Amino acid sequence: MRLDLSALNSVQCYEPGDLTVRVQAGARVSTVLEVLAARGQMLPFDMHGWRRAHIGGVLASAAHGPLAASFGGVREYCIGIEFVTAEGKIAHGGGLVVKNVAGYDLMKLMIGSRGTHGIITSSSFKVFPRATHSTTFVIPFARSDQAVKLGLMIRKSQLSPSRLEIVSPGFMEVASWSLLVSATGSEAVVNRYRTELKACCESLTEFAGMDEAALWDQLLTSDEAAVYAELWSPLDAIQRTIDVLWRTFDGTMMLSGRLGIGNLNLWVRSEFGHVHSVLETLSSDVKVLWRSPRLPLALPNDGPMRTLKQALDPRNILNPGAVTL
Amino acid sequence: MAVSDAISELISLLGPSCVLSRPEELMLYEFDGSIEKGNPDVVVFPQSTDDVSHIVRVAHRHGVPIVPRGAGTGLSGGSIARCGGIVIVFARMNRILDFDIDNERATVQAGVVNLDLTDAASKFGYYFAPDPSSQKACTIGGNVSENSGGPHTLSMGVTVNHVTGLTVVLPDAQGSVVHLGSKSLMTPGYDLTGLLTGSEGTLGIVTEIIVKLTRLSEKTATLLAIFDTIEAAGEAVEHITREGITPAALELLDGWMLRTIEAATHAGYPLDSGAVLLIELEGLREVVEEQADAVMTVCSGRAREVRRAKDDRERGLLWAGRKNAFGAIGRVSPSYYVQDGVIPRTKLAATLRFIDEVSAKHGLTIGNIFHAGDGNLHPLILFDIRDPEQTAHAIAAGNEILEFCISMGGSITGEHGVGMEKQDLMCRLFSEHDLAFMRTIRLAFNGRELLNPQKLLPSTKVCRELTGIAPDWLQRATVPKAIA
Repeated sequence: MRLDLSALNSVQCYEPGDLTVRVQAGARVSTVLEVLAARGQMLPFDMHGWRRAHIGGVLASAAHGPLAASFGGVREYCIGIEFVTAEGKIAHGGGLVVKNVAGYDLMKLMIGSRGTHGIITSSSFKVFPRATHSTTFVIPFARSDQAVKLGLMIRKSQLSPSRLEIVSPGFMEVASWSLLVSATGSEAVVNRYRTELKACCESLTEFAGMDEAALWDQLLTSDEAAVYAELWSPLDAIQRTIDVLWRTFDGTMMLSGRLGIGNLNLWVRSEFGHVHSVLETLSSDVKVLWRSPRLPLALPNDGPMRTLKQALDPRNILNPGAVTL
Repeated sequence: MAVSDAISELISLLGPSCVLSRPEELMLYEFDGSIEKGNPDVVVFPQSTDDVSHIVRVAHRHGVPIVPRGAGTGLSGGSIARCGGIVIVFARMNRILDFDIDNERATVQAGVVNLDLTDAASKFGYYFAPDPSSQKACTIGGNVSENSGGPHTLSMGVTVNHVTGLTVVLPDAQGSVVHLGSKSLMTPGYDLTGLLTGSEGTLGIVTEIIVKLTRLSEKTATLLAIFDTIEAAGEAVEHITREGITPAALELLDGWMLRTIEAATHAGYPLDSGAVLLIELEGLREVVEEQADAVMTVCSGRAREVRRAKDDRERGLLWAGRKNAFGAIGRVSPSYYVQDGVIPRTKLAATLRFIDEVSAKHGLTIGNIFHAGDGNLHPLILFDIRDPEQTAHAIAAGNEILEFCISMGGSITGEHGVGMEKQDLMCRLFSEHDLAFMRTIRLAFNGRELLNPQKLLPSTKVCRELTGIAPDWLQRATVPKAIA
């Protein structure tokens, strides 16, 4: 049975003064962001394809985008959750306050579990003030290692960009590798970034206001015809990982990577089997976080996960097969 | 349950120097930082994950409860052997195993002291962000179990936001060792690292932890905003939040607390004020200066004065006062009962008024010192534990405050955990279905309930009603008296 939750789409409780919001699972991410923006607030929901995404899907898939470089994933700011259990009971965890350790952290249990532990119906988030100024600096490079080197240097500096993204040729109709650095805050903060970045690169282009929004929109559309995968690589090995992928998928891959946290997103115009066999050959330090959704995810250390799934859904009726156990 | 047989096995397994079982030795492990008590039958000091696995096997063979314990600084009875059994103390598993600065991670054993990690990481320009007031003594393993916070978690998040991987001994017959998560911020599949963090030692025994390290800031400014009334300070907090100012820490101390701390610490707090806000700003120098100006604007007309620490010495003094506050209470009261309720930040002024009423109603002094920026209250209820009537009033006052927090849409605990202390209030916060679901999770990991029994979830009558389970050790358990 396929459950369509799109009618559960209301913003149930929004307290701008408390910086918290509770929304139903079927609400569109874009609708929620509009409601928050009207009060000068935001949530860092900028996953690829976010305009079509719903809140419940974001939680079930633990989807994230370039802003995860500074905000982390949705697990870091989801403060409450309501769901229907395999027995058809309504249960909840957390609440609508920003600090809360009462009971087990059911948000962590549900986020990323792909609907295999329960059906998420509503959730609460702590929200963030929108910065008064935001500018994205785009720095072109002939080779990926040059972009990675500067990106890691920025990461170790005092600058804390809200986004720090390496982008392969092919994105944004650009032929070179690019490093995208977003500075948010006041005008003085943006000036500081401008000065420091200009000192370490030959050229950069600035995007602000509508231009900046259009830039990220362009980047955040995904290639639906490609095989998609998301990896995590230790930062000290990320250049090697990018090299191997770029060489192997020569001319068929687009890549966008979060240098702040080591996550790489790949879109490869090739057949599934080939892509997945290449991923299998990567270093054991590299974790496959997500593959094309038509394939289940195989989990490491699955003993306790299997026990937990069996206890919460003994008849395996909740999204069976979405997670391989 | 044959405890004596278990003790003999533990001595031969670990050696006599790693096992305590004489009554006078065990008395030292009756307490934590709360007002609860419970006697263990034996205390053991493992030196490795393998030791812990073997201890769990012994416990299983003999049906003896197991309680993991860090430094015993917890404030909800989480590390107390409520049903007797084996207390596993992590004092000898206190090594920092690895710094991986390129990836901003450290791997530590559970018994590493919180401040020791920060001190060691500072050589590389990093620190461990969760900073409970007990950070000079509390352990990372304890922080993980309780999902601890601290003043600086306002901007940085609590422990779960700084833990990416765990090594855990499961409470099964084999004492199975599992590695959850990794150095990656994101987890493929189920986030068991997140689920186990804050599970108060009821799902598994954490022996090693991969933590996220945070870069030390370029600039820090510490401000002391002085108010004539606590209400004015509460209003300032609401406005700071509303204005989108995000301090690293935003602490409120009322006038009574200030005077008590000043007598003990000489931190430089103003003795004649109604309340102060201790506000810390961190980040790029441009950000810090702008936020300092914004705080000044909010406080203008509300605060009597806003002071700024001139140097590290002044800053250190202001924080020493805050972090040693609980110790300062020892000079003026034989006992105190600290609560940990959370409220939405817009309800701060109303909640402070309610606490005042509770204080008058029960005839007890209640000092207020708390993490105002995230609405996490720590009312300190003063009483004399030797006086049963006062003790009853203190417990009633604490419960009334937590009930009020629930009625405001808040929670019964922001960082101290439920433990033994707040179990029965869980029924006020969560529905029968919520608790049944949590209980299913517990039983999936901890089927015989040998691991930290009678903690976190409602016990005794409520427990039986929910599950019908009454393990054999339950017969031996004491009635959950707050004060023995």
